[in-house]
Amino acid sequence: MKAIDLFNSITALPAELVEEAETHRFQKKTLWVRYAAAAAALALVIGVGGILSGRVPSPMAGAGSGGGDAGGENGYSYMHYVGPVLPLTAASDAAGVTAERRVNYDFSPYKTRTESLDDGDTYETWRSEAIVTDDYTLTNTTGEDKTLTLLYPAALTVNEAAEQLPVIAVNGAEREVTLFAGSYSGGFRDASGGKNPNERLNLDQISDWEGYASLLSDGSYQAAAFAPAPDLNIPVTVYRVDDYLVAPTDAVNPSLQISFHIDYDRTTVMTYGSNGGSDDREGGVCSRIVGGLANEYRPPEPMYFVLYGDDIDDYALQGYANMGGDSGTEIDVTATVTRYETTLDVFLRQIIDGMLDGRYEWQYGADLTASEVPRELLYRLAAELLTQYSVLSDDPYERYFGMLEEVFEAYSMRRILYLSFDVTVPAGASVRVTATMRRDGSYDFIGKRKNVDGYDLATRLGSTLFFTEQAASVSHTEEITMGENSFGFDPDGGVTEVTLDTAVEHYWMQVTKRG
Amino acid sequence: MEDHAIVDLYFARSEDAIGETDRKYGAFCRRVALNILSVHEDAEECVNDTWNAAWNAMPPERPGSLRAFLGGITRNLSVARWRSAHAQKRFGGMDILLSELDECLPSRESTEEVVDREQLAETIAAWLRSLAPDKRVLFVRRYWYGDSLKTLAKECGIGENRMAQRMRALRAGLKAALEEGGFSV
Repeated sequence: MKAIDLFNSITALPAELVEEAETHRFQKKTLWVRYAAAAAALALVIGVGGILSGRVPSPMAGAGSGGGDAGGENGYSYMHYVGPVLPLTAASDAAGVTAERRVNYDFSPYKTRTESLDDGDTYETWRSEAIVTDDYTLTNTTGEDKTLTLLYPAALTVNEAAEQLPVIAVNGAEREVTLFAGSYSGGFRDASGGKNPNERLNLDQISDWEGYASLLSDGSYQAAAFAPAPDLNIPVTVYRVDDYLVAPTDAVNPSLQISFHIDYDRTTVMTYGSNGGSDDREGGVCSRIVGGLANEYRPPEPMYFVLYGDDIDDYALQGYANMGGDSGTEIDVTATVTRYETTLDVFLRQIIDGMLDGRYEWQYGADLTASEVPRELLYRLAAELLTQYSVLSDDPYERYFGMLEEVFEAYSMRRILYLSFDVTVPAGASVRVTATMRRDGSYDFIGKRKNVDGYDLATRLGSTLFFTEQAASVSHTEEITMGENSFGFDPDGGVTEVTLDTAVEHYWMQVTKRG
Repeated sequence: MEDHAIVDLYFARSEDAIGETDRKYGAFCRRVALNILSVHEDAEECVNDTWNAAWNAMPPERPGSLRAFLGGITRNLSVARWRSAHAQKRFGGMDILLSELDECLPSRESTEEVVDREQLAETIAAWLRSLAPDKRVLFVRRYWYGDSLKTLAKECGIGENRMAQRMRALRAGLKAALEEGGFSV
C-alpha cells in the first residue's frame, strides 16, 4: 500500500463524516487575554472587566465589494472596515451652543505582552486597536440654561458592544445612557462575484468612508433608529419535537425528519432547532430534519415548527441513519410532539432569552451573554431582521429561510448604535462631555496591506452641533509606525498633535505595529 | 437552493443545475482542489471538470450528500491532475498530504500489495467513529478537505506546532488501527 492508496480511500469515506466536518465547531481553547496596563482603567470604567479578545476576522466581512482598494484623498477601503469615529450630535435644539472637540488615539494596546495558556504554554500577543478619547467642551453662549438631548454614535456590531461600547462622562462623572440602534448599515450581494446582481445571498458590509457618508447624509438613518419596533404580536401555532429516542444503531449521526402538507401561499413556516430540510412548494410538502441525536457530548435540543397562517392536519416522523434522509437509511427513532398556540413575539423572546442565558454559548460564543445591549433592543433587532429581510418580509432575501437561528445574525451586522443622554449647559458656561472607547483598526485579511490598520475620523458627519474647533492627537506611538495619513501626524518628527479643518469631513491614518 | 432541488435540475437536464451547483458548492470544491493542487488555474479547471462530471453522472446517480459527492469528484480529478503535474515536476499541497499519510502506512507491508479501497475506507471510517468529534473532524478536515494546519490551528485556538502534534498523534492512531485491521502483513 502506498500513501496515495490511503488518500484515495479517504476520498471514499462515508458522506456523513464529510458533512459533519463541514458544520462542526471545535471546542476552542480561548485565547482571550487579560491585560493590565493602560487599558485597565478604561475597562473598569466600561464595566467589562478588562477582558479583551483576539483579532478574529469576521467571515461575513471578507471579500466585500471594493475591499482593499485605494481611496485617494478619502483614504482606503478595507475588507474589514470598522467605520469612522463619529461626532457627538444633538437630538434637540442646540442653537446657541458651540462645541470644541479634541480626539486622542492611544496606541498602547499594540505593545507586545506575554500571556499564558491554561496548560502553561506561553505566547506573545498584542491588540490591533486604539483607545480613543473623544472629548467635547460644549459652551452655552445664550443667557438661558440649555438642556440638550445628546447622541453619541458608534459604528459597531451588537456583539462588539460588550467590549467596545463608548463610556460617556459629563464633567468627569460617568453618565448612564439609553441605547438605540440603527438598522443594518450594509447591503447584500450575490455569491458569484457580481454575475447575479439581483441576488441577495451574501452580506455586503460597508467597506469605506463613502459608505458611511452616504448612510448618514440626510438624517433618515438616525431617525429610523428611534421609530417604533416591528409588531410581532401575531398568532402562531407551534409544534415542539423532543424526547428523542433512538433504537440501538451504529449510525454516527442518527436523525429525525418530520414532514407535513401545507399550502405555502397561506402559511409561513419558521423553525428553530432543525438542521435542514426541504420545501416542495408545488407539491405542498414541507420537511425538516434534526440530527446529532446520538451526540453524547451535547444532547439534542428540541426542534420547533412555528406556523404563521393555516395549521397542519397531520405530520409524519421518520428516523434516518444520517442527515441525508435517503431511502434505505431508515432507522427507528421516536419523539414527543407537542402542539400549542402563542404569538411570534413571545416565541422570539423565549429563544433570545435562552441564548442570553448562556444556553447556546457552545454555538454562538459568550460575547452576547456579556452584552451591554438591553434585551428589548435585542428583540427589536431580531424582529427587524425577520420583517425586513427574512420570511416575514414582503420581499424575502434569498439569504434567509425562516430558520429562527437567523435572527442571531442581527447581532453581528454592523450598524450605528446611538448612546442618548441629557446634559444641561448653564447660561454662559461650559460642560465637558467625554466618550472613551476601544476602537479596532480596519484591515485587510490578505494582500500587501494585511498588516496595516486603518483609523478614521468624521469631523461633522451627521452632527447638528456647531464646531468652533477640532483637534486630534496620538499617544504611545512608540508601539506603532505611522504610515500614510491625512491628519498630518509625524510622530518620529515630533508631530503628534494637529488642528483639524472642520470643513474637511473625513480624516484617516494607517499604522502598523512597530518591529 | 436545497440539494434535492439541485439534483432535480440535473434530472430535468436543466442547465440551471450547473449554475445552482456552482453557487452553493463552488467555493467548497475550489477549496478542496486548491488544497491539493496549490495552483489556482488548475483548481479552477478541476472544478469546471467536476461540474461536467456531475452533469454526466446525474442521472442515474442521485447522491444522498451532494457535498460529499461533488467533493469526491473534485478530489479524484485533482489527484489525476496532480499526478500529471507531478510528472512535470510541479508540486502542490498534495505532496505534503501524502508525505504525512506515509507515516500511517504499516511498516512491513509490501508496496505491491493490491489494496481493497472500500475495505480500507471502512477501516478508516470505523477508526474515525471511535474518536471524539473534535479529533474525528480534525482528521477529515486535514486529509479529506486538505485544510492547512494553520487554518485548523486558528479554528481550534491553538498554535500551529501544537496542531502538528495533534495530527501526528492522529496519524499514529490510524496506523495502529490499520495494523489491527489486518493491513500490516
